[in-house]
Amino acid sequence: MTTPAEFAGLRVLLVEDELAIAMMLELALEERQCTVVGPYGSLDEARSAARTEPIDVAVLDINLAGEMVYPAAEALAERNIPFLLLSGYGSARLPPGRQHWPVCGKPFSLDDLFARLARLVSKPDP
Amino acid sequence: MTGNLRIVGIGASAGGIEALRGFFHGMPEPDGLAFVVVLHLSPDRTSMLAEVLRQWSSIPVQQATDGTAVAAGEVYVIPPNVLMTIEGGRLHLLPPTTTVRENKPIDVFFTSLAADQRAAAVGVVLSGTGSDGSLGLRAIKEAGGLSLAQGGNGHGPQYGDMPSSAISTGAVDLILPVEAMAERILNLPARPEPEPEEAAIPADTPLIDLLPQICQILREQVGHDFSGYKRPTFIRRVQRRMQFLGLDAPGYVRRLRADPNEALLLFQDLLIRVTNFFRDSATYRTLETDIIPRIFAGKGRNDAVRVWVAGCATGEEAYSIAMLLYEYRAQLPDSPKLQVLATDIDEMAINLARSGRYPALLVKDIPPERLAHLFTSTDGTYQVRKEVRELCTFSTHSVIRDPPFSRIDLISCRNLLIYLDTELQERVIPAFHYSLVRDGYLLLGSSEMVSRHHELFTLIDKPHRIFQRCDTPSRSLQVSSLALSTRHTVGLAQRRSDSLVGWSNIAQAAKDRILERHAPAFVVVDAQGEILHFSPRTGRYLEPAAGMPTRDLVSMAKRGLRLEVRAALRKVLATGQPVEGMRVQMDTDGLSHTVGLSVEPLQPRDGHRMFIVVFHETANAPQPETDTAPLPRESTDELERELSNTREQLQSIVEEHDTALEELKSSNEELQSTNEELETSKEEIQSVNEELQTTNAQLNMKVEELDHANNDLRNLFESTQVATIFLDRFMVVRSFTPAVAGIYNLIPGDRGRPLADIVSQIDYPDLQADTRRVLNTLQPFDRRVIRHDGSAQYLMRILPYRAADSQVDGALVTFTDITSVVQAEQQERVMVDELNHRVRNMLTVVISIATQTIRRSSTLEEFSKAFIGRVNALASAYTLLSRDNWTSVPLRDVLTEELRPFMSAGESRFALEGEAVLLQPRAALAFGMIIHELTTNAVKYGALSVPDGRVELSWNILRQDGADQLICCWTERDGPQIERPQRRGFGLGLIERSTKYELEGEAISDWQPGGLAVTLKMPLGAIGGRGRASSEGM
Repeated sequence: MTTPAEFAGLRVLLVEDELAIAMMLELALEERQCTVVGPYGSLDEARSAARTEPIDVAVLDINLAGEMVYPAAEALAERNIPFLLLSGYGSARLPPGRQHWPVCGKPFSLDDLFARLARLVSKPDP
Repeated sequence: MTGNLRIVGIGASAGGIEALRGFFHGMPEPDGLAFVVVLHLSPDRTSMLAEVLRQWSSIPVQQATDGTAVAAGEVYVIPPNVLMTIEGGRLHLLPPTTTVRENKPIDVFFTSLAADQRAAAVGVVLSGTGSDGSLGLRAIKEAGGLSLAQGGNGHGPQYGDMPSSAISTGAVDLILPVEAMAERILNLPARPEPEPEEAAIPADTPLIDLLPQICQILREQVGHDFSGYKRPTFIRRVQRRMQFLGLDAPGYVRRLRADPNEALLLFQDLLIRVTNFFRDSATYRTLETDIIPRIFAGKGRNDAVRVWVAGCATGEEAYSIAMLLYEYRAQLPDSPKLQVLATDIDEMAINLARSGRYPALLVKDIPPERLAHLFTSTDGTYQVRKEVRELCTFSTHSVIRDPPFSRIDLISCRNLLIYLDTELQERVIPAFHYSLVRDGYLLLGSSEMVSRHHELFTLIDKPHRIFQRCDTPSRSLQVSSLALSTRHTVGLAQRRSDSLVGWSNIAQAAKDRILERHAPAFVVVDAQGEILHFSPRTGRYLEPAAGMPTRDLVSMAKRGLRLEVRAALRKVLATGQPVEGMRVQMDTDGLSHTVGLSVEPLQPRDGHRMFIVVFHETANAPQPETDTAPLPRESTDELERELSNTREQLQSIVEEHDTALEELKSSNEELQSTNEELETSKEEIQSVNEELQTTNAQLNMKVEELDHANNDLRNLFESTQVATIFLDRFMVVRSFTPAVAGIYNLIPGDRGRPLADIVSQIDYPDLQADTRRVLNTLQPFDRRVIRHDGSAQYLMRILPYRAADSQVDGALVTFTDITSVVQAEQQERVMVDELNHRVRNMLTVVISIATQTIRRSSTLEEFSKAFIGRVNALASAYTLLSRDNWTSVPLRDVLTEELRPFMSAGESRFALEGEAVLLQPRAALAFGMIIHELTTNAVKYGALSVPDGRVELSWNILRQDGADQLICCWTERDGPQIERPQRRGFGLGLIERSTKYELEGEAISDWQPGGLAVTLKMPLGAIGGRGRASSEGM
């Protein structure tokens, strides 16, 4: 179990098209005293936020109403902002050359999710 | 069999009934005679012959049955469709093997009759066509029996072929009209004693002492010497005549002396052409062992051995010689061609000879092994094998009349010369000399010699009368200028009788003497002036002309006579009146004397005019000078010289013409035989042709089948989508289907090129190696290959190509287009992925709902109710979506589905009103959840919490800011009094967020006295579109 302190004050970009999931994650992040950027359900919003918003870490659903979230992920990667992809697909759906992107399979437990987020933010430079 | 029974066989065919009627009509009871009638009967009809005969005669008539014993005083008739023989006096019936006609039933019966009854047999041949009976009569005569044939004299036979044929064989004793026959037969002496065997003639026969006398009489009467004739045969012939006339030996000699006709008959009897096969076996042995090897010596494959059998009669001698040649040739490695030309003047005999069929009796002298080897046997007759028959060419030809053949190696002319008088012999022997090749051989009969022609032939074997040709130049042939110029056709028989009666009496001798001593000199000439006869003492008037010997009277006449002789001849020829008393002055030995000349026509003989030219020696009286003025001597001489020259030229031309004619005749003979060979070849070719036609028809059928199969294959090739290439063992393209064109750039002209040379559209460098492996292992090989441009994928298979004999003879490469299959596979994978994603997403959603619901529930019951309600709402929306295959669903359906759990039967607390709108799946799910939240809220707190409360749900599309907006109003009525809540509940929060987040719209809540009113507003384009009007009105 991660401690809320690890995440306190982090600005977390949340991208998830499924409202129920977004609300659950929003609530969980807020409980850990994070500032949620979003949540966003469309790629346009997500990409724009990823480019411009100050963000420490991001949680990105891989499929946004049929569109893949990769452009937003690329934008984050350019800014060296760590992110975690949420995917219902198997591991192999990532674009060529991006196989190293961290993926958290759906369904997930919040503990597991936050443990992985913790690893991302603790790294000096993902 | 009674001791003195004579059995008379009667054979008849067409016209036979009439003849039989003449024979039997009014015949008295015959004593010691039985008649057996053999008629050619239709095989499939009952014979009425017996009944017919009974009408004419009182003699009992019966149809013969098998085993009938022949009894005197009876007539037996042959039943239809059988062959009949007699053995031990009993009749036997045999089934015919071929048709009755071919079997010659008369010959068959007569032959057995001769064998059974010997000298007691009597054979009668009556009217009929064909030659049946001829051989039978010969057999009877051979056996010493009596043979008769129906002859002219008033009522001749209706059809004369059968009797004529029999007569021509020389085997007929008597030629009589039928009426006379019966009488003659009834008066026959009783059955003779059994004929003694040739070797066993009793020494004390009175005849033996009388033989020299008989020979002498014959010599005097007919001019032939039979003292050299074989005694047993001679005695038998004489005995036969004696028996026939019922005379004893001295009586017969007396008769012979008194009756020149009897001498002639005996002569004919003696001359019966006893030409059995290999008769005079010693002669044939000499031929076989001595002469034939000499003839064959030095002849090779391209040469021919030609033999001429002159006077061949019914062919036995010709066949005998042909058999000897045939047997001898078989031993030779390089066998020359054989040709036996067999001739006779008698066409009937020639026809018999050609068939080569003989009754058993006639072949009895042939050794059994030769018989088996060279004959085929049917029903008691024997036929010469085809191979031997084919060697023989039979034709009608007269040695006297017709030109001889040429290039002959051996001439056999036995017992023919004795029929000819000296003059004819004079012609024939030189003709034979002409015919024969150098050193060729001549075979004559036992009593014949070449007499006056020793310069032409050397006798090399006296007992067998074998002569060899001397190499003296051939004299010009005298193939009777008379005959050639007038085409006369007198037969040999005629000449024979002419010559026989010629010189036989004293009167003749007296005439001869008178002629010799007292008559004036004369010559007999023909119409051409050729001298036919000289009288004695013509030398005063005639002399041989210079140059070629000639018989021309004018040429031979002495100078001074010529002109007169010619003038007189012309006059007589022209007028037909005699010219008499011409006087001619001529000089002989310097003495002038007068010669009387008369020319008168003689009685024409055989239609030929003849003239007698008589020279009278007259007193040397001077002639009246006025009578004739002699021509100037010199001009006459000149004319005569010229004439003589012209004559010589004419003579040589005539000779050349004759020679050419002879050669033509011989060529013709050869052509005839060649023609026969050609006929045989033609038959063979025809049968080969038929076989070929059959084979051809079969081939045609197979070709048609092949065509069909080929067409099927071509259609299959062209229709199949499976691209196929046929390769041989060396990777060379043998064939391919049109579908290959998309993969390999193959055109029909590429057959025979190596596959490696062909540009390919696929990435597959290992094709060669893989194919070779398939050829080695014989294991098929599969692989997927992709086009260079990735537009298609193929399943490629390499299979061994098996020829008809199961031998592997190359490889088969097939390409099946599996592009669509692969795409389907990929699609399926994507769909499975998508499904996994959705399921996982949904689970995550459920977890999220659970997580949030649990936070807002105070009791487990509350949680359970809220959670299950939400999950059910989600499930309802999913059900609807899956019903329509995850396409758009009507808004009304979504609403109805969500409201269903809250509607009890018959209740109508909801009013739905709005136009047709279709929602995309995501929007449908969101709408479903929103309506669920609104409804649970209304049930808990709003209009649905009281019995009378209602909900109105209406929607419509409005145009605002250039875009369609869907406005959906939820209005609760008649609910309890409510107030705006202090804190926004989870439900309403969710509604607002969901509208904004998932429907890109907004939700406005208004608390009115009757209940809550919520207005949802969203752009139509973001959630779906207008639906069709028909789906409206639920």
